[in-house]
Amino acid sequence: MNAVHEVPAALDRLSVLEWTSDCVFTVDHAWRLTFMNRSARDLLAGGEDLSGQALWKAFPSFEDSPFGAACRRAMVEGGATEAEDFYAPLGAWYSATAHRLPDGIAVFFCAVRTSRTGDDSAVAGEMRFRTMFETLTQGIILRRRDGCVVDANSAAARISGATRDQLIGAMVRDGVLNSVDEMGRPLRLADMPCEIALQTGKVVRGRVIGLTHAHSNERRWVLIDAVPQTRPGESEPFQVCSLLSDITEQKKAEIAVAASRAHLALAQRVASLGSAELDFRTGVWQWSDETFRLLGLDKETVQPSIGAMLSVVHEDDRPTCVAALEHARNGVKPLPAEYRIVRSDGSMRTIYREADLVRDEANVLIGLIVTNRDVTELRLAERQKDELQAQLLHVQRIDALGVLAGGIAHDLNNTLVPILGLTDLLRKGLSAEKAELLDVIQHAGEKARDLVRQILAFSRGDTPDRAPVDVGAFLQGIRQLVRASVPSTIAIEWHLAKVPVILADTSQLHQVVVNLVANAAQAIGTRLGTIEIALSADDVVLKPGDAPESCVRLSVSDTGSGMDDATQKRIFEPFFTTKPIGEGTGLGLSVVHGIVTGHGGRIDVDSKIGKGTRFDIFLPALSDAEASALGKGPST
Amino acid sequence: MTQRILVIDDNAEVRLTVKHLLAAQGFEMRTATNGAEGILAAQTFKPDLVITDIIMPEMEGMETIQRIKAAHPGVRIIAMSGGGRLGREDLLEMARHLGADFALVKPFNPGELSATVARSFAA
Repeated sequence: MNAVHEVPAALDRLSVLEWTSDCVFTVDHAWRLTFMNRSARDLLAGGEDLSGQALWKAFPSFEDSPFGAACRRAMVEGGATEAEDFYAPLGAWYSATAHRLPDGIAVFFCAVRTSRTGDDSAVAGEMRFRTMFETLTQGIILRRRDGCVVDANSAAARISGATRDQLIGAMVRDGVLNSVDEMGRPLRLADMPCEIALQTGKVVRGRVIGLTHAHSNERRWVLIDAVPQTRPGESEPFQVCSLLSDITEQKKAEIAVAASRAHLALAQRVASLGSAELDFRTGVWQWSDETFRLLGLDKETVQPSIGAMLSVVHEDDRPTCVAALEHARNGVKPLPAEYRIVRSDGSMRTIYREADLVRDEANVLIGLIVTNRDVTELRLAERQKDELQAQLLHVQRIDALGVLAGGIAHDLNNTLVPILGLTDLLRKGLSAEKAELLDVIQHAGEKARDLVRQILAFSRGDTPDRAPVDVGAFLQGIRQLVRASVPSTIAIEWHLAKVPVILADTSQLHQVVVNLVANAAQAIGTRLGTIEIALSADDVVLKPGDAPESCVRLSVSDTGSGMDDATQKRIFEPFFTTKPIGEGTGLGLSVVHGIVTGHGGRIDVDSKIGKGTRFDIFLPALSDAEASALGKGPST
Repeated sequence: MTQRILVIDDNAEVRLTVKHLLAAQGFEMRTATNGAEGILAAQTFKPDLVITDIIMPEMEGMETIQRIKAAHPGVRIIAMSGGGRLGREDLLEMARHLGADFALVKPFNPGELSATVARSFAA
């Protein structure tokens, strides 16, 4: 675009120069104007010839501009120097070429874009652009393909801390803009947004880099858009325009916010306390990271909402969660509550929720703030404590009952001595009729004695007299007796498999079978029914946490009335009975329980109302070696 | 010669029952309501057999047995107990330990009493 400024030797130089459309002027060594052509006079001096005046005085705006610099270089270094700049007095871009002459320099000055067209609107556009360029708060740096900065506005100078002179003409790689990436690492040339835009021909947007401010040495954070500029018909951009926004204050605030957010997240994590906020005006929920974690939801894929939350809340707890939200919407602060979360792996967590309403300055309800605390472990510990306490109370109660029962039994035994002892003595000489009355007294005494024995067995946990027992043979031995003790309306089925020998007290074993069969018969009552007595070998866990061991299983099941859960839980308690007062002692099953556990065994009950009940007794089997070491064969 | 039996029990029913049952069998009977009384009675009555309760208020049955045994080395002793928290095995063990020859668990029927008395005289 620059005009050719050769001076034809054969022509009078002044006459040619006088009529060229470029402005031409010459300056002597003392920087005095020695010649101005017509264009120079018209364009630069309003038609006046300023020859004889000092250049810098005639054109003050030259002094600090690239044109002035080009003139000085030509004067000092010789040759031809060039400069292109916006010439504010004319509001357009100009290029200047300065040549050294024997007596000074000659300067050729022409409009870069408007010289040929002479289009006033383009000049006006250029002016507008220039004004905008200078008044923008966003920094703008224009860089040529070779890396040289050709222009920068004052905002760019302010942001970078360098002067415009320092910026313009500087090469990017000179390190005028000591830049780092967002992480604070030195930025390589190839990674600079302007370089990327030049190389790819594509706009690079929103890149954040750090600059070291030339004055304060402070780190400034800058948001950069780099826009490559390509001339029509060319494929590669010839320059790139970088737009710089100073985001240092935002960045500092962001860092502070991020730090406080991280701090809050950590605190929430430590406390297992998540927070959530609902803005009633927008309906938008915000959940803390910990809330996502507590709910077992992925913050990357799940949008906070009441629906997302309810999807993980236990079915039974959903209505209370929904109700709490409804209350809040109606201005009622929800009461603290607990709800359960079912995570995708099936695990269940208990969450304690507290909430409060949020109001603006005018006391208008605008939102809800909620805290969620994971109290699963806490509740578990509390439950275990409660259970332990209940067990302890149970043991204490049984122990107290034992002491009481022992005391009563002792006194009753004394009381029974004359009844059982003296009735026989009275028999002599009595009529058959009266002797029968004595029989009644004696039977009543014997029943009372048996009852006291049972109480004592429970109260002291009788030390059993144990020997190896073949339970199958033992049951065969008492078969007739059992049959005789049960009404004929009840069938008894026996299923006795061959089982290992156990170590047991046969009289106690007898009591167990008799009590269970009596219980079964009472459950059937006067209806028709069946009692099944089964014996089998089984591997069973006897104590929680132990490995299964070889056991003998003795089952007594009936087709009786069955029991509800509450009854099943209490049947082994002494004096617990479902029978009317006077019909049952409530001791039978507690004695069975005492005997079975005294033998190191376990007793299970399975019952359904209307279907019947089955008791399973598991007693540890003796290994062959143990049986022979006891030196006895199995006894019956 | 009629054999003499001393019954020591704080419980009147037991005392009288044992007295009547054994008197009916021809034994000469004497009763005492506690250990101290029993020891005094033993000095004058010189029993061949003492049947004593081992849980009594005044003097524990154990002490009674030990003192009678010390004063009358040849005497046979049957210890009685109504059980309470003591099991049959425990009672026998304790009775043996104290120098009693046999144990009788309350309540007992006349047959058990006679058999135990007979065994103690046969021993």
